[in-house]
Amino acid sequence: MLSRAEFHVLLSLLESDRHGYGIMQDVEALTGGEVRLGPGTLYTAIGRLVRSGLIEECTSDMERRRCYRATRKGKAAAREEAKRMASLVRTARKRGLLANES
Amino acid sequence: MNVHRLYRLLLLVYPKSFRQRYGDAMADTFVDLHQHGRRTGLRFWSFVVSDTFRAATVQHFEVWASAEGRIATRWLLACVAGTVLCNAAGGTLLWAFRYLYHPFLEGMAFVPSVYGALVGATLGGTQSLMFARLSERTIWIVVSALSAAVGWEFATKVAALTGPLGYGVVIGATVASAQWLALRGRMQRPSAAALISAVAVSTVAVAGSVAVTRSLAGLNALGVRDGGALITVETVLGGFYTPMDWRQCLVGIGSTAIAGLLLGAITVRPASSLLARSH
Repeated sequence: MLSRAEFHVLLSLLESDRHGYGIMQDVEALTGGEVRLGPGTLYTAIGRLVRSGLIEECTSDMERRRCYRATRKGKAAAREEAKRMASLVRTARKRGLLANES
Repeated sequence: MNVHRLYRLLLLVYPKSFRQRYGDAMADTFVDLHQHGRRTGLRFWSFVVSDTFRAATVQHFEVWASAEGRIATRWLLACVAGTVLCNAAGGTLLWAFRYLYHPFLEGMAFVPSVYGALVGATLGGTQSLMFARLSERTIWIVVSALSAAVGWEFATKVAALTGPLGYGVVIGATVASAQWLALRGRMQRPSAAALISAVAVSTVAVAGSVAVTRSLAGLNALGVRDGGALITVETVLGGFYTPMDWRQCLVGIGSTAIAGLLLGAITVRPASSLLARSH
């Protein structure tokens, strides 16, 4: 199971390759400012995702900075995690925790 | 000091391996965050500092849970087990001496080197369990026992003149010199490891001697009888505890365990490096 920070990093990299600050900005924009990753939390998540083979490093053409991209395994893991979360939400909705939304 | 240097300093709270891998990238990300981020002043720094300490805690935990961390934990446990075992062996020896006393033993005194050999053999014995090969284990036990025996013999002579400090330094220097000889060619920078070992052994010996002076038994391991260099086994081992009841017994075990933990904590880095190679 992915942590919240790991899942957000993976989500961010599904769209395009990004470097650290790019991921930070994208996650903040994607969650409407609800999730703000600091450098420590971000690179802890990146380190784990690289070790698990869910993302890999790449070198950006524009800058010498290290960038990251989601691997095929990473995309599949993100999809599985999203399904798991959707299933949890359905269950919570059945129990009346959440209002029905279309 | 500018903020970037300050952040570089903050990065020191992360484990070295993580810092080497991601330190530069984190510093670059910090620069962007500082220049383009919306937070400023106290809000910015409280966010950065709390993030750093939270992530560093996670990283340190991951290091301890890794193979290297397991080796370090086992080394600490080996040191604690060694000192506690030494306490138990000393107490048993003293008890046996008293219980099995015979007039034939009248006037018999144990030289400090016997006590040193006991400390070296028990502590070196538990530490040696960490080594993979039997030959390495044997060498470590022999080196520890012999060097501690020689160290204690000299240290008690010096102690009469210098007090606990000289006592500790002599033991530390003797043990570390022997370890340096044994470790040459087996690890990188054996002199640095020996120096750390010298500091560790000296610290524990000095702390032990001070603790002994204030112990419940009230006996000083540095006490010299008859103005000479001999210390009877009763004084030495009794100093390190002759438990009269369970409370004293527990205090003795606790204090020696702390001494072992201190020794292990100071030497854990070079020991882990050596043992990682051995395995």
